[in-house]
Amino acid sequence: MDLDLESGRIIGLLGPNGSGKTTLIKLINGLLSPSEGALLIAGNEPGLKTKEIVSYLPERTYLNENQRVSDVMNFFEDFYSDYDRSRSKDMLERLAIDPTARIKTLSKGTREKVQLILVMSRRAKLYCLDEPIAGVDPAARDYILDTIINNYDENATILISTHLISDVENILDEVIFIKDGQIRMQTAVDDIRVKQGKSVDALFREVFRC
Amino acid sequence: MLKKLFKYEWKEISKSLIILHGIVLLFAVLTRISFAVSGGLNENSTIAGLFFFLSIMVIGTAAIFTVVFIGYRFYKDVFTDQGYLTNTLPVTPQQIIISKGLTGILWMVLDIIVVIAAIFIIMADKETFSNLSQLMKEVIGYLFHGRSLLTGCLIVATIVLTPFVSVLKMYVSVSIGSLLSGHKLLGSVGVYAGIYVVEQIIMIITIAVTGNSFISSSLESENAWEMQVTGVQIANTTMIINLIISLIIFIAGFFVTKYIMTKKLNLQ
Repeated sequence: MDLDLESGRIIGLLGPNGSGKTTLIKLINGLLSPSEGALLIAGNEPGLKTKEIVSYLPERTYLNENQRVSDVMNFFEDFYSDYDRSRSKDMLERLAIDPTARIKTLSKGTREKVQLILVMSRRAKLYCLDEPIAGVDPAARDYILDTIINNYDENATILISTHLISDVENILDEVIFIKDGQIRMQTAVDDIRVKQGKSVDALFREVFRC
Repeated sequence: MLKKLFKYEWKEISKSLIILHGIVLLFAVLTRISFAVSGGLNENSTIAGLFFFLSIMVIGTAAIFTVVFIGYRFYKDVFTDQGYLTNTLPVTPQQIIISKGLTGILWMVLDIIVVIAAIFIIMADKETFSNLSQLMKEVIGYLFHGRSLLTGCLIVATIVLTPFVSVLKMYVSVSIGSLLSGHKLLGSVGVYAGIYVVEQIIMIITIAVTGNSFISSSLESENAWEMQVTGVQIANTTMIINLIISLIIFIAGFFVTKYIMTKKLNLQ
């Protein structure tokens, strides 16, 4: 796989189940090590330096159930110098999530929202969002996508992996189609729309027809 | 960052362990009170006997739970879903091992202190303390004097090293167990048992070899003093080998754990 991600773009990482989306994101975040080849983020291999600038939303819930939402906010504030607490507070308020609530009392969807809020409250250089909207209702989905766009720093890159293409395609600048660990296509969304006259969703179905 | 990691780990691990050790002390106090009411352990003091029995059970449970919980905290934070957060924090794997390891060692020491305190609460009276201080003086006088000085130092080194080795042994077991695709905890227990068995085999061989030389040398000697000297030498040799094994487990444990966290992290 030969892949180059430019800064300042919202990039969709799209592919069928088992195509290697999560593996790529785990590699970026240092949770897996490449058996061969190299992966660099702002010139550095995944490690201490890159973890300071990459904000990662895994598809799993990593929150400690016994803690309160505010405890996790304190935790983020302590470990990430780019964490902006006021952003979290605003978003929690907007989604009517009580910061004093214990994680274990929250529904699965609410936990995912809390996690996304925390991740998007960092002023990171690269955001890796693995299936960020799969578990939440459509109304919250819209708010979350708005949040992503509104919190989007010009110099930051957002990499979103998802199956729900039609939901995210309006916010994407670029898409990467991936299958069996290989890049099938990397192109600007405008090119798909203008040159091919298709939506990303339609093109995806065409490329990955079973 | 190490300080912050330590702070959070200390808070998290202490929640359960403070309650548990509070219960240990509570049972000790209740036992003491029931002793005072019934005039000690005798045929007519069923309640005192019951409290005494329960105290022993609670002390044993607390000691085992403390050790297991230290290993489980490491497993949960690093190798389950929470590992997605722990392993993407801007910290190094060694900082994670050291911060968690230090809290674990501290709690092992606290556990021993609480257990000793509980035993004192249950049993101690004025005489105990004076007898004990006398005994301690004699033991220290004997161990750290002349020929026994080395033995004394080896005993201290063993005592100091034990919690460090216990923690790393659990961490490396959990790390190797996590490489399995399923039944990771069961695998960790298996690895721990494996390390334990290997340790025991080496110790048995050591004792057999040194013991054999003790028997043959004592057959040649008729002098009781010489026999005692040989006995001390054997004890020293056994302890030195034990210390070497412990140090190897400690150092290898640290590097294997670090390697697995860096290169072989197997989060589901």
